[in-house]
Amino acid sequence: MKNILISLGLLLSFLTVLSIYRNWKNKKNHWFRKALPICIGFSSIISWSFAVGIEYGIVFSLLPTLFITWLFIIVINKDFFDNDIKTRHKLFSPIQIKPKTLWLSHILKLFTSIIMCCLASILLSLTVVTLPFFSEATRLVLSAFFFCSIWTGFVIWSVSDEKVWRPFIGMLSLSSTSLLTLWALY
Amino acid sequence: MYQSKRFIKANLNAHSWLGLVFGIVLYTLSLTGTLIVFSDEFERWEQPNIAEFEQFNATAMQDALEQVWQKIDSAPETLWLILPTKTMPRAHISDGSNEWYIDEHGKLLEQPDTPWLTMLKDLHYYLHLPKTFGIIIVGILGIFLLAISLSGVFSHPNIIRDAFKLRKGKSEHLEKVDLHNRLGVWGLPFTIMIALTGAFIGLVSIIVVVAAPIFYDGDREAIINAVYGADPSFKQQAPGYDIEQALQSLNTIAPDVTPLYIALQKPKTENAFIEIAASVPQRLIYSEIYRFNTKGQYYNSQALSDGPAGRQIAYSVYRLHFGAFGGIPMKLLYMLFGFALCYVCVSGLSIWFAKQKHETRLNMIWIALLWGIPSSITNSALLSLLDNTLNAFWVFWLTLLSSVASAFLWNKIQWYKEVNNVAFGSLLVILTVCYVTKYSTSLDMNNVTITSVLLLLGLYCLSKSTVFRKRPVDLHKPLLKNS
Repeated sequence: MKNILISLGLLLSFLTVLSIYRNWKNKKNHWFRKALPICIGFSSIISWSFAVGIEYGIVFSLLPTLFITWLFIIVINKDFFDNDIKTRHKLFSPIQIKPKTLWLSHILKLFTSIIMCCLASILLSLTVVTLPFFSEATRLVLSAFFFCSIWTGFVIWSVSDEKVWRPFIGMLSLSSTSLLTLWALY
Repeated sequence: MYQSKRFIKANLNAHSWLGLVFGIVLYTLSLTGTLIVFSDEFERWEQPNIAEFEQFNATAMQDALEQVWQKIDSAPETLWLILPTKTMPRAHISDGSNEWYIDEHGKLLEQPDTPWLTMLKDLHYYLHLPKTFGIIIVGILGIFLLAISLSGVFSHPNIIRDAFKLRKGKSEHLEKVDLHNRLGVWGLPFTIMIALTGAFIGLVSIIVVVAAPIFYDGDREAIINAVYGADPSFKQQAPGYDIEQALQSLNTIAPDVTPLYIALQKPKTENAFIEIAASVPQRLIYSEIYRFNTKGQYYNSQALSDGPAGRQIAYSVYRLHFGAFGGIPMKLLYMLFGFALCYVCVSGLSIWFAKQKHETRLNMIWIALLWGIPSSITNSALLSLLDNTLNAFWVFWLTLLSSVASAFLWNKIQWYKEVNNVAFGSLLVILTVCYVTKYSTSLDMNNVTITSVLLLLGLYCLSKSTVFRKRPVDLHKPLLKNS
């Protein structure tokens, strides 16, 4: 029974990829067609979950689906891998040193994305998880995951913003607000 | 999906900037992480002359314990008996500072001696930095991997339109971009999973340090106890350990679990107790920990499998990050996705270099690092195999340093790529030849598979080199000119 469910899960993974591809190719699809990959994907998860449990089931249905997608892309673009790539050679020149101001802005970006983002995200994550309905362990573990996720968001902001000082000030104010909130609560 | 041009440009800049600054370190972490997925197999490969078995009886454990008591001067805080499993059919015993393999009759064998694997693990966990600092840095790099991946998605306006496209022939640059994008986008769930769990493992100590004074009056142990569960307190325990009874009790209360290790806590004191960690079927948690008194009577479990959701999540992170579940098929999938991540890191930087008007010394250094890192890992394995007293750490860094130094000697990039390719391929072939020569009598299925894969990879690299083709490119032709 287990093997049948695993085979079914793999087949459904393949069908998920196929239905995504069909949707991608035919732009004007009926809503039913659009929802089909999600339905088949869920069926794959269910099939895997019955075979190996829900935790393994989610990972087992996800990774093979992604892998099958890669294989599928390779199959439908066979000529891409013909080995006739011609390398264009360029002139060799000494390394160009960028102006000092540019270096300074890069250093500030690095400082903001590491130190300031870390500070702001840790304080913000601890403030967010003070909500009472979490158990103690869940609150701490969630704060660790929030910390990582919020930091990621802040890094993208601090590096993508044209004005380097803006995220810096933003983080500073967020950190102080979070710190004050925590101080008021505890 | 509408995104403003400004938003796309800003994210593309962020993606390039982060990729340039952290690309090479992330490549190192991806490569070492991919290899570490097979750490059990590599451990068996690096030290093959150890007895392997899957069944172990309690009497043999008691015998092994007796021998360890005679070898150590004072009782350690914990004594670990690591049991054989299907993926790692070896048993060993450790007091935290010393470790010995044991055979199926409980006889102490040689100590684990895997300098190359230790070097590889240390490179992935700590980047060879001091451990506390190193793991935080690696955690931060997990954050940057997430940021690079997400900014890459945000900077891709045609992510759906191009979802299945690989455009050939328009330009080499476009081909590289397409492959980079397809692997990156479709591998995104895996990358997010690896980066987030890696960041969690690395940065959880920061949360402990900051949260302790806010929530627990500075008591860090209280936080760890709240998340993972506190140790029980036993008093006036009888001397000795009835491991057999403990295993029988475990079999009664949880017949489906598979014991991984036995920890004798606070041995030779009146507070002593036995812990048995066992993997729970169909669960991602590393293990459930069952506690017994020294007579082997069940006391309680640490509630890692049925406790608060946070505890279960925290304890599931390890298996999810290292692919230590689902056996060899899952390991192979992790390996594929890991190598794809390596390719995404490498191609990202290659795309940036391809966009530059001129080639500079940076191109040479990039090639030196790109090939130098796997070559240094291989060279470290080779020299550890030939002489295991050599420090694998220094071999790795000296090889990498000499590889980077060699980038300053030549200006011919094509030729330099060839040299690196041939060097890596040759090192792999030499490594496998030396291995087979040295361990010809201990070639089991595991070792033969690893050696064959390494040999095939080496031969593939050599075959890709124009030096070994019928019509080689004239490598001495000055392809590049000094301006």
